[in-house]
Amino acid sequence: MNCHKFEEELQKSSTLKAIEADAAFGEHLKACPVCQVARAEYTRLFDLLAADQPPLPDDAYWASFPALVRERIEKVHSRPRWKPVLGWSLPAAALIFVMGIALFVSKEKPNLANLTAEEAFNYTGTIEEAADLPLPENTLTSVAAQAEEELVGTLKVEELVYTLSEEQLKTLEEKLTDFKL
Amino acid sequence: MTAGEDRELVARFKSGDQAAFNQLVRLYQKRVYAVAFRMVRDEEEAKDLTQEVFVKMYTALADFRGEASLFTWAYRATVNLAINQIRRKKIISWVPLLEAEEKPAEPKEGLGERETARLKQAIAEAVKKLPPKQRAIFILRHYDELPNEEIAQIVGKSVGAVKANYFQALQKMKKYLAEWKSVLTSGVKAYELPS
Repeated sequence: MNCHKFEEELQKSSTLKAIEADAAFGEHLKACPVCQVARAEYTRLFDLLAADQPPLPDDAYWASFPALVRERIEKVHSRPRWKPVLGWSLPAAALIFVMGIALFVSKEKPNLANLTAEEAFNYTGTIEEAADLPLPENTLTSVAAQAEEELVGTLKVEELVYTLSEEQLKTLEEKLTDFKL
Repeated sequence: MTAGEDRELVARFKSGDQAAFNQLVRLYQKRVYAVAFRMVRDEEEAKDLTQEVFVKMYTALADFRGEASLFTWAYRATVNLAINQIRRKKIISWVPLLEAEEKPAEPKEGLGERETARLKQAIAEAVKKLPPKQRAIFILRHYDELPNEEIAQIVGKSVGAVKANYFQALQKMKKYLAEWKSVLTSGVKAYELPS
């Protein structure tokens, strides 16, 4: 049995309670063991994520916050525009030059023949560019390129995710851990 | 706070009432900070980003026409600034001399809550592994419970891409936090099925 209704519901509603409040889906959930397993898994995940509360600064900080913003606004607005340009242009240019050299030296050109899809992807930054690299025949690259194409801006991702085999999905997930928008 | 109230405060500010801006800041400061922190996972950086959002808001209010809600604007500014920050940090870490060593966040809890602190750290590490825009979508959707349509406006993507990315992010988080599964197995609350 291969039911993805729970995942589909999850994409529509952000909370498990909202999903379960849907009477029609509730009926389905009662009868579908696959969705029950998915529900249990996401319940665990959501419970874990509930522990992640940001450490809020204390009340004294928030009381002074508008004043801090004001101070910063005044600084921005009172800054004479010509002065920093003259004063900082030379050191800034020198710094950019040094950083550029350092980046150039540190970013070694990889051997394209040995790149995996993920490495190519990381090297170029986008899957489209990665697909353009003169890589050897690599099924994974084309799968990844296809995935990216499908993912961006369309609703076809559901179809894609659900039509790939478990093995393809696993490989894709392992290699394409960081797909870019 | 409704869009109408937003507009009223903005109108007051535009007509010269500076107190209206302070009121907007107070209304949104904590929510902006929470999003900023979840994006950059660093308290000082999040404070700095939060201030920067309001500095930008101050300037942008002059042209604000109220087509979207002010908070959507603030979310967008926060997400964009945070993404820039994350990317800048990535670039800096390429330069060995300037490489910033990432310090694990200090657990705030006492000894009895050591496990919770470890879990928080694990979540922080997992969130950091998500690509910046996917991270933003995950945070806005999961923690702020914003509708897909609003998130799409904020991150400048289609609703379909938002849905897909949220789902992908959840899958990844499940994977990254797999070792914590057993910790909660016995303590998971039983969610009642609707009758």
